[in-house]
Amino acid sequence: MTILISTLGQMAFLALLIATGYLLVRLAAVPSSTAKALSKLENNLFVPALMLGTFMQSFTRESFRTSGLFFLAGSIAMLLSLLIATLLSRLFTKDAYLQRIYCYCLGFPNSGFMGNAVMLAMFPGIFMEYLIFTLPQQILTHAFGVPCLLMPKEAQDTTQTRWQRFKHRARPFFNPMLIAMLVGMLIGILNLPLPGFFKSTVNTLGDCMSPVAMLLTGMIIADIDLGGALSNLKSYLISAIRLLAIPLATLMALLLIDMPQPLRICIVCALSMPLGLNSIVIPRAFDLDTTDAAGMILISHLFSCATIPLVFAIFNLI
Amino acid sequence: MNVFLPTLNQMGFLLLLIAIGYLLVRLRAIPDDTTKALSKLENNLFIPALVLGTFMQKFTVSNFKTSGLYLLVGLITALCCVPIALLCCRLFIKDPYNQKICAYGLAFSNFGFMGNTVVQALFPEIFMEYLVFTLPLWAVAYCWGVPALLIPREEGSSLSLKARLKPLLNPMFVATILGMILGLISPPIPSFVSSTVNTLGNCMSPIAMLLTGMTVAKIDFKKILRIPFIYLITLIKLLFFPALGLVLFLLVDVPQGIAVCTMCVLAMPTGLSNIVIPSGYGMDTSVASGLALISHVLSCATIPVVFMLFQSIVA
Repeated sequence: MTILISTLGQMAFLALLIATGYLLVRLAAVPSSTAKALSKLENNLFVPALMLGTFMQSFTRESFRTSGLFFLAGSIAMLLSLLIATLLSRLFTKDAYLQRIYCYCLGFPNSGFMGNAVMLAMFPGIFMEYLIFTLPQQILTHAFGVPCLLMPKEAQDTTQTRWQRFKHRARPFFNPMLIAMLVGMLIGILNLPLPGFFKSTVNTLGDCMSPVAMLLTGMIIADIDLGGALSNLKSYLISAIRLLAIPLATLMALLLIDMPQPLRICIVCALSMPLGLNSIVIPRAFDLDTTDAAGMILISHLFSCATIPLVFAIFNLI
Repeated sequence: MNVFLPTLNQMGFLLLLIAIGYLLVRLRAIPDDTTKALSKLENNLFIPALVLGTFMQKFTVSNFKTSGLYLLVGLITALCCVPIALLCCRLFIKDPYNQKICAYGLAFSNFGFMGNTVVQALFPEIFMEYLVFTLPLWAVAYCWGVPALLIPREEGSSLSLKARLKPLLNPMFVATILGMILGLISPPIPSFVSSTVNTLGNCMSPIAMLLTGMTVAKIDFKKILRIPFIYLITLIKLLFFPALGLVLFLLVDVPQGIAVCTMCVLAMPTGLSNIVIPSGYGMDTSVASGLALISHVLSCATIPVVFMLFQSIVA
């Protein structure tokens, strides 16, 4: 019961931040470009600062040894999730574009913005392990999810040589987040002495990650046509699979497999998150239809405030 | 020496945040209109949340009685700074437009973004009192400073009293009143609401400093560094004004909290409104930008020195 109440409190806090972002846009209290600006700031500054700070502080030789297990488990969880998503998306529709959207929505949960916020609040002691666990998902998002599932095929220049295409695909890996993680690991392992104001700056910027991510979620949701989004039955079904079926199946699997408790928490947390926001942000940038994705994002984020505490309560029980 | 090193460390932290904001713009890591978006978020969300959270938590019946004194001294500070600023600018600057821009910069320092951050970090125990102290400064800036000094004359002078008072009905003032009421009656507030308010309030300082860096990044350095009177006005702002405060507090015995609040307001660099508002009217902002740039950079050294002197001479 304790974990249910504390997770509910935490979800209410995140939901209030999302509602604040939603209201800011609806009341026209911020310019229309705010979501884009915050998204860039989040990806180029706040998330990298959070990663840098976490790894600088917590990454040691000891954790270097155990991180392989988290990375491996994250990779397996991601591949399984993607396999299930591919199969289910084919069952739901014959339309190729929608299949890809459904596949992304089911396969890539919001384990970054939302997952980070939940983990930081609920299990700060294993936040670094969670970042390592979700690293394969970040990699797969950049290497496969976004270019193959969300971007139109025309956007991938077919006149490019194989090397140019490789360079194009590899470019997202040199992003501030991964660089910050590597730098943080180096500083952590070498235990480099850093001035106090530098650490304060990194930590202060990292602390902005959760609130800004939730405000951004609200701002993205505010652009959705609520009537159209809430009237699509498939959105409810996909959200139910993402929020209940996948986490419950994971819980059953965890009963059968023996593994360390921090790893169990990481798996449950990452897989019980709502749908990732990329499924609306990227297609919108290419003027593609985002009605279905918008509906699924709205519904899954709304219901996740109840399902995440529920999943954690069941996890705690069993 | 006690206060010098923590203040220097705090200024290093703020300067690093400003530098990051500057680099984000220069490296084109953020869209062009980020400054506008963040400025709106800061004024409509983060500052009101900080103010609301502070008053909700700390404003009590006993504080209510003492806050009148802070309000009064804040008003006196504003009313003293304005004529001194106008006089200095008339003495040293010939161009009437630049006179107004510099007068605003001298009279209304960056007591909001920078002041809140410095006081929150160095003197958190009197942060609520500082917010009360700066209320009259905001009021004078909104009702007189902006229309008389920053808005073009034909638009500024035609403003009715109602139009001049309208800016006071902003999210920050509303949050102040609401926070005071909640603080006084202390109703039970769900913990997730207070957590949300506090978390949003904690974003105020880093976003404000990033915003300062982003504003500075748009400045044409070569042009503004050649304007000689900018250096003079900066020195007046960062050294002469705090020196006046130090002399005054040597002669007049005032409560420590009031002296700290006054010194914070006097020691801050020039504000950013004299860039943001004239640029909205398509007016030249090179002098205001120069003042902001030079005063913010130099303030990283002068603020710790001023507080060290304050501690050793007055406190």
